[in-house]
Amino acid sequence: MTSPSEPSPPIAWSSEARSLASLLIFIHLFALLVAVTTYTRPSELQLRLHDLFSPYLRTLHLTAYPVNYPFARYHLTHALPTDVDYSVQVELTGADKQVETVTVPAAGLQPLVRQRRYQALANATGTLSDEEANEDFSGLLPRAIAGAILKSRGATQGLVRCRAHYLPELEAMAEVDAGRREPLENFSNTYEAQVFISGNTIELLKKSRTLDVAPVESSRNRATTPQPAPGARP
Amino acid sequence: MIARVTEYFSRLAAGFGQGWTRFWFTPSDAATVSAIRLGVGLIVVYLHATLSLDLVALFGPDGLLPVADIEPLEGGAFSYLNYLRTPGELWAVHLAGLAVLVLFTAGLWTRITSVLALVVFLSDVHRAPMITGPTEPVVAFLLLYLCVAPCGRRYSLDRLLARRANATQADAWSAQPLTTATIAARLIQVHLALLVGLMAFSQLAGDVWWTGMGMWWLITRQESRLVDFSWLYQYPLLLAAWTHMIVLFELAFATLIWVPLARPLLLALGMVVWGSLALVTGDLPFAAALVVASLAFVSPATFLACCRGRV
Repeated sequence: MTSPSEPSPPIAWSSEARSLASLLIFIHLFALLVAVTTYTRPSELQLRLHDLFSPYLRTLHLTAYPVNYPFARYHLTHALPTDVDYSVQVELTGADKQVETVTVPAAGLQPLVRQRRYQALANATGTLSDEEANEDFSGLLPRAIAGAILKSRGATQGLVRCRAHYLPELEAMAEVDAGRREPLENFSNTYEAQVFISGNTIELLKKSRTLDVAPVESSRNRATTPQPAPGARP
Repeated sequence: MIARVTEYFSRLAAGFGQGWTRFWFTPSDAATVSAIRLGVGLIVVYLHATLSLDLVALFGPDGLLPVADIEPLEGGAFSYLNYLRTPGELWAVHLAGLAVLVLFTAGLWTRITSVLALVVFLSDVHRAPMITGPTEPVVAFLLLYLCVAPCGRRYSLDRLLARRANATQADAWSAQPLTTATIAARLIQVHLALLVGLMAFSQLAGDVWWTGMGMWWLITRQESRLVDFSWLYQYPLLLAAWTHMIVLFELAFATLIWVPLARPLLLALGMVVWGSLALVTGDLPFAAALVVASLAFVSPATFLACCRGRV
């Protein structure tokens, strides 16, 4: 921490104090190493060690290894079907009998960090709504979001849907001129459910599921438009 | 032969011990950690203050994220926000938290406010991890290590108040090299290097960062990006170069940042790389947090020289 031209100040701490501090630093760095190396493809040993340090790491928010959802994607993207931006739409008939659609995130939120928060919420909802991967969690966020929006509008029922915005392949972009780019933008409903409010109870009745990706060889894991399931709503 | 092996291990242990002691326990000036306090304080005040705009909409009794409904997604970590029920309680505690963060950033009663700032920030994060991103773990470790550091000794109201009482004593107090300043800065350095290494390795676990298409899949996310770079589809080689440069930089940062000669170059390149990622991902706070964390690699002497107008 001193620049090369400066003489180093003498060590101030006693040997005992240094030993104790070294022990604490070593334990902390070991826990950190476990947290970092567990993030991508953990072995059974790494997972057990992570469980051991989990109370410490989670309390201080030092681990990005997901509890059930990868909130911090340090890989940025792997072009998986869930590495896209989602939106959550709630369709309802308000007290004035007008049909209204509320979207999360709303457009034009300022400052930008608010947009980032709501986008993160929509992305978490979209990622978790894959029922096969997240059996226990798929309905949690749609229920919470739709319930709050319905209550705020005085409505007792509505429709909640999660929409994925799939991304165009580079080759597809190159094939069309700039004026025809719009059709390449492709949205797909990954989750759709009826919502009913009765007193303090919010019930979800799932309607359909369109994110059934056929195992196509090379583009199987790409974040492009998946093939819709037969009979699925476009 | 056995004697040689024994001697080697004796020398190895002695050398490691001396190096470890020099690395962690050589006292240093508090200028670096104080500058980091100022930077991370501004970020955390921004994050907390902007949460005010959606406080009740998100965490209120009829908000989008009721505690009871999202509990299974929280991971069981403590947040005092989980115990607040009415909008009035939420606002009172939130504003008190904002006051703590402002005091911490300004460097007033820093020993206490640094710990309280960590509690405030972690409570925000643990209340709803699904609205956080990669920024929060970086800010969390910076705040954690600043709890250890004498980060109020410079660029702070603590110093200003001390100077009012006795200027000579205050100058000696703030210029005193301290072991805790070194430990905190070293912890930030090691943690940052590990994190950037993690980014590189987790990217390389996916095909697109090998095939050069990683940046393309980020650029096309219209909802997230700040600047539209989709016209780069005409230049696939440029996209591939950008992708590879990011991974290469991250690998270089994690390893070569420990070489003093390479450090200034990597820190400057870091500004470019984190900045370019911010434009594409729209995550400005993440880029800002990485830049602030990188300050741990700048020596206190450089900060002091900067403040005196000479680098």
